[in-house]
Amino acid sequence: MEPEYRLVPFAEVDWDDLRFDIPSFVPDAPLEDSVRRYGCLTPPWVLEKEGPAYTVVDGFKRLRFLRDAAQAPGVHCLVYPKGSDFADMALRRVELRCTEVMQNTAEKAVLVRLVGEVEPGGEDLARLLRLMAIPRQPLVLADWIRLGGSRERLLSAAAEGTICPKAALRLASWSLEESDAALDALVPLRCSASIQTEILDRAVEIAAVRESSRLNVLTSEGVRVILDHADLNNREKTEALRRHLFGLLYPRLREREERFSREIAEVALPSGMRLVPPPSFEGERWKIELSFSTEAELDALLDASRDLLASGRLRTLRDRGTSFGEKPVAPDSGRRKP
Amino acid sequence: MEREVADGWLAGSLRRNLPDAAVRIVERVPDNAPHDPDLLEVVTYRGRFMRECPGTRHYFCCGYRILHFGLQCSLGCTYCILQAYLNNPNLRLFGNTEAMFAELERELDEHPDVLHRIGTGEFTDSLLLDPYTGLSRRLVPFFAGRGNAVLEIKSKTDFIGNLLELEPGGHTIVGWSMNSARVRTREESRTAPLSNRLRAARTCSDAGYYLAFHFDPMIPHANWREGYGATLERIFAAVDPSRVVYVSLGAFRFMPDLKRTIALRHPKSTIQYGEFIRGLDEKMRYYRDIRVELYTFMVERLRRWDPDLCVYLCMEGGDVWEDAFGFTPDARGGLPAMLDRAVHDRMGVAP
Repeated sequence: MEPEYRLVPFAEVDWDDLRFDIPSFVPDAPLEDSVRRYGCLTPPWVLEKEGPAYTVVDGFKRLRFLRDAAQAPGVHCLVYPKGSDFADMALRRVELRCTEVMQNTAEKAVLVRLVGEVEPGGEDLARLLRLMAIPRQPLVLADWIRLGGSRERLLSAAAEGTICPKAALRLASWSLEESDAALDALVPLRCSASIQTEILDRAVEIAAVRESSRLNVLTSEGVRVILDHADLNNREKTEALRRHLFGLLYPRLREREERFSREIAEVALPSGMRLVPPPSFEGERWKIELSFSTEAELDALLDASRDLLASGRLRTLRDRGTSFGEKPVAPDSGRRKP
Repeated sequence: MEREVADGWLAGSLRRNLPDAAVRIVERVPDNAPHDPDLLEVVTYRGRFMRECPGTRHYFCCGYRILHFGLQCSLGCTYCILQAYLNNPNLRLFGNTEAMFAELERELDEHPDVLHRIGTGEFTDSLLLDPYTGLSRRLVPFFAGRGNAVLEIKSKTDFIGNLLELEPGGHTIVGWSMNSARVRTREESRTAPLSNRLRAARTCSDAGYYLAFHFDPMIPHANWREGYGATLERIFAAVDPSRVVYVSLGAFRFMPDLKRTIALRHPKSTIQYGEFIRGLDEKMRYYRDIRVELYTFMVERLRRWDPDLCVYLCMEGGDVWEDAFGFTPDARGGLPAMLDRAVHDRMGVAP
């Protein structure tokens, strides 16, 4: 039962026969626009039945758009002959739908680059970007075009999804060695998109602050030890790497956090009580969290809180947490002169 | 120029002082125009000319008020917040000068018992266009006659020509933004060199103006102590401390979106990278101990120069004040009161 490619008049299509219809439940303006511009780039499928009449198998929307446009009496379709097996037709239809190409990041980038080269700044490029939900801003476009021209390793990682689009776009502007080092780190970790971009951002910032290179950061001893660690799983490696990079970028803050942890341990707060400094020790708003099950437990924790306050240990902890070095002696500056 | 202000005082000054500039009269200068470095827009301003300093409740604010006479700056400092004002990327002046002075006068008259510290350098550099606008020729005499107000002009230029022909009457402070030589060279390369600023400060002081210095933004860098210390020494050598009303200190801080803007517009700059944490006002700022270290160093040096000098922190919290100074503004009646006292003590101005 081989199909035949021939003209099918719209008047002979049975528009009420929806046995093969797989509705998408959303309007498809880009497809309508495409059909108006280029017609059907691949032929719709129809099944011949008594009549002359045709049942639509695939291409419902495109046929309707063309019919409504009323620019031609019909369209060339793949016509399956009368008596074709309905079940077989239905399976083919599903097969086709399931294997329709959804562009991955790499394909998108290659498409953008192709159109960008053929018609830079043209309306076709703008339309393509709209279809792929890529902002038309010149810098964003430049990133995508650059990614589209990248080497296979980066494009493969982007296509497979082991590198998120944002990370792939960023790496496209890095040198080969830097990009390889980043892929060596990120691909095996299989971490989330937000963590991938965080790691790359941190590498950029650490390199800038230390007047080093991104390559040096990503291939440093500390990073290699974490990535090669035999006893850590991917999640643990990811967390260790994040902590390591945080420490490189925020050495003073990390040192303060570690010191605070030591001081809290020395104070030995009762279980169920937690002293929380302001985020990044910024500001003066501290918190004490009390966890309890019974009123008696709460009572004991409140007593412990009062003891902590009375003993002066809380003040010491807070002072240590927010002071830098020795406090200066208050000057006369700003006081009214006698 | 918008037609409505094309025959105004400011437009006249500009035509006189820029005789070769092409002038185009339009009904309305659009917002969101593309950036054009050769363009100066003169528009009718329909908002309030008098504004409060955009401080937030989380940190101590100096209570300075802004006389809003224009927008944007062409000095191109890498750290400048004005880069984020994408709706108005071009130099813009408000041509309805009489309306501005009327509002200013009304404001001062309505609150005669208050000391008004008013500055013009928040949304643009106070002196950048002064050679062409001559605005200082109207502002300085205006404030000279007001018992309850002082004007602060803030600049990174040395365009003081107009100032030297005026009689400030003890009511105008000329403030310069200062920094280490390295920051000046790398991050504000189109501004006047520090030596020019200090020469201008000395000249202004000799001409009867009071002075202020603003170390803002302070940016820690390799050998920053030597860098900032050297700038302080140059100030100490250049001017008499009794003419300095106050010195402010502020570590670099920025809205998060500015980070990308700096990276795009100033790819060689790395000031947006470092131990920045999100502050209580949502701006990115250095981790507090770094700020305290910067301030402590400066305060100690400034105290040695003049123990009575009013030194203050721009937008910092009580804990940082406590660590840098040993007291908080609240203990001195609040930061605005501290600055009012400095104006009273140094300039003898009080309502």
